Amino acid sequence: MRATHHTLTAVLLILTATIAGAWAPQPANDSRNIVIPQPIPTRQVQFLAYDILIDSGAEPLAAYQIELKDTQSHARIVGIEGGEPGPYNEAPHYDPKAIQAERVIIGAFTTANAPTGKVRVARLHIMAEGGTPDFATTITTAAPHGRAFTATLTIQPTSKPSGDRQ
Amino acid sequence: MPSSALLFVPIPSKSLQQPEPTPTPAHSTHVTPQDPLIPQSLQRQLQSAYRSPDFPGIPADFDQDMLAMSAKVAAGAAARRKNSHRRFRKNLLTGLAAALAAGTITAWFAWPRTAPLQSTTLATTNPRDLNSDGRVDMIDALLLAELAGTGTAPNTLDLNADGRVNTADAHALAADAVNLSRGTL
Repeated sequence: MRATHHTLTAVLLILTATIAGAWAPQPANDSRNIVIPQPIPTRQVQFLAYDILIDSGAEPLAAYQIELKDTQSHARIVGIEGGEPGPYNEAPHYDPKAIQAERVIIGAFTTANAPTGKVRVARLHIMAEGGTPDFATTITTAAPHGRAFTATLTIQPTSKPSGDRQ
Repeated sequence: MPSSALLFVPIPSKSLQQPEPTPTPAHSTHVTPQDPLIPQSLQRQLQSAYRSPDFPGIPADFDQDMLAMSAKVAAGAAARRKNSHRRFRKNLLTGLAAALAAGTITAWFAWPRTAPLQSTTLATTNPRDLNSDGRVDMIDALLLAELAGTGTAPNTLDLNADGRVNTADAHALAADAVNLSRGTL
C-alpha cells in the first residue's frame, strides 16, 4: 500500500513537470530549427596561360610538333591560340579532343619565311585545379625540305591577356 | 610313365601304415586334421586297395617321372615366357621404326620447299610517312606542302579527295599528325 502511494506520487510529479515544460514560454529565436551549413572544401581553381617558345638557333623553323602533358593532372586545356606575328601567328593544328584534356599535340609548318632564333609559336590556356601543372614535353623540329634538327623548347607562364600577339 | 599311375593319388606311405581311423558315418565327408583334403571314405577305399595282394605297388621311378614331367612343364612355361618377351620387344621395335618412318615421310612432304618471304616484302609502308622515318608528323606535312608547291606530288597524296594535291592536303596530313591517338606521352 505504501509502495503504491509512492509510485503514484512519482507519476504525478513526472506529469506535472512535463506539462509545465510544455507550457513554458518559448524563446523568440528558436535555434533548434536553424541549420548551420558546413563549409564545403573547395579546390582552388585558377586560369593560367603559357607561352610556347622554340629557339631554333640559326636553323629556319619550317615545321614543329610539340606534345605536352600535365604529369600532375591539375591542368585542363581550355584554349590554344597562335604565336607571334609571322608564319606561326595562326593557331597551330591540334586535336579538338585535347580541349578539357591534360594532353595535347600541337604543330604547324610553313613553306616560306621560316623564322630563326627564339619564336613564340603558340599560347596555351589552361584551367588548373588543386595545384600548378607540370608539363612533360616532346618536340620535333625541321628546316625546309624536312631536315630535322634539335631546338630548345620553353614553356613559360604569362600574364598577358588573351589575344595579345606581341 | 605307366598309365595306371594317373589313377593313384600320392599319399604318404606313413599314412598307409596307420591304424584304421575312428568309425564315422558311411557317407560322411568329414575331413580329418591329418588329411584335410581327402574324405575318409576315399581314404578307406584307397587303403584297402593298397593292401590288396593284387596291387603291384607304386613304381619306384614314379617320383622321378613326376619330377621329370614337372621339370618339362616348367621348362616349357619358361620357354613360352621367353618367346613372349622376345615377341614383345620385336613388336615394340617394329612399331617404333614404323612411327619414325611415318614421321619422316610426313615431315618430308609438309616441310616448305619455298624460301621464306623476305621481311621487306611483308613491310607495309604508310604513304603519309613521306620521309620514311616510321611516323606521320608535321615534317611529312611540310614535305607534302613542298611537293604540292612544285606540282610533283603523286595523286595518292590527295588526302581530302578533291582531285588535286595541294596545300589543303598538307593541312589534312597535319591534322592527322596531331591526333591524340598518336604521340608518346
